[in-house]
Amino acid sequence: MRHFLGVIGFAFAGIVLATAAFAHAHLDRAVPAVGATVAASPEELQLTFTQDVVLAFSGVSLKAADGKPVAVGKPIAGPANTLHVKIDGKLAPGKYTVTWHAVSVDTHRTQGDYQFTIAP
Amino acid sequence: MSDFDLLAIARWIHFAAVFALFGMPLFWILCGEDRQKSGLPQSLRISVLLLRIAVPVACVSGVAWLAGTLANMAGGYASVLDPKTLQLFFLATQFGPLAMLRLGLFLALFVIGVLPLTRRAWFFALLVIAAILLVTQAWFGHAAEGGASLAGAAMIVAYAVHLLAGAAWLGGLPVLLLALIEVRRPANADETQSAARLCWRFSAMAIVAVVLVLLSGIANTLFRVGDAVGSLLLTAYGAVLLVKLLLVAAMLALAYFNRYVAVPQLAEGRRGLLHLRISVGTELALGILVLGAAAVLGILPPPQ
Repeated sequence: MRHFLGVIGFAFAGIVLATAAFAHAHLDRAVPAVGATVAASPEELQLTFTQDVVLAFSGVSLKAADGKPVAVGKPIAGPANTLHVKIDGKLAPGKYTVTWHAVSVDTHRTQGDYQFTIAP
Repeated sequence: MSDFDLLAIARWIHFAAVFALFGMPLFWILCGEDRQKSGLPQSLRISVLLLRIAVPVACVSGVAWLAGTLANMAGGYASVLDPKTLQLFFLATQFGPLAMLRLGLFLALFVIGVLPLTRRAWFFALLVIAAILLVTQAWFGHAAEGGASLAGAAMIVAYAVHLLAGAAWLGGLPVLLLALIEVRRPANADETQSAARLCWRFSAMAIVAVVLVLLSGIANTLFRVGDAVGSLLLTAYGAVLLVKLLLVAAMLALAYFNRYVAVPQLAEGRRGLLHLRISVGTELALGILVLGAAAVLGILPPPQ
């Protein structure tokens, strides 16, 4: 690949390889992690995406195992590719579903969900 | 018809209209005959008519694209009329100010479309507004993903060059075709030579445009795809990109035929006019399909 770019003699080549960016923000990692089991009730949810996201049009919601929504704050500003939401109060042990939607800086919207479990 | 389809169609129509608003005036300014000569009055009249149509088409399709983008981001069409959502869209996002700029440009375009300017000033105004519209497009698609960095700036520049060069090439073809139709079966050597000269001039500009389109196109693809080349053809993105590349290759083949076969034939007084008309017409039709592929490509996710 490097050799091919060298042949083209392209000024951008080095920059491009160093920053292969992916459009459409996909969930890269989360805290608590996707499918993980944690011992204590987390204070906040942290979702990191493959792309910088637009805070104003991105959101996270939380549901308990019985489908009842859990109150969470609005996403807080931080690193541009991460959403932080504070969880109101302590969570009871059990399985939780996080549903998120994100708009990347290229205006495209993605959404998804994942689960984590609290088991002290 | 899905929301995706509607957005793709709005984009396709918008691309075509703005390409015309940039490329057709550019052709007349760079390749047109001197004002002293009679020139090509019919081609000029039809060009002006087409541009007058392109103005409202560009404005309406441009607003539709922005509205569709907002609706997609906010999760529904009702959001387009919600004041709070609009406020967030225009004031709380990276592309908000550019959206306002584009709306302002649409208004300016609409006004200029009906102003009684001299033809040259009118062409120049359309060309400049179209150029700014093309460049601002970069922040509403994949080229915006780099953020405020050197790489990010390079992505925007590559995208902008790709569009401006593409519009210079494709946008000039309608005028070329009109001129080739107006120059009837040449009765005298003068008309033949004048048609051949026009083709040469366009060709000279088009060669520069084509080189820029190809280089910037390669840059754009490398930026988008990066290390994910292996999975490229497994994705819808890869398939549409392949279609776009094949269409461009066909256009280049026709352009080659024009420059190295048909125009020399014409200059030597041999029959070449019909071949040229068919060839340029086909090149134009293929180019419009390329815009369709690009309209879809810009809203598909590139391979991870």
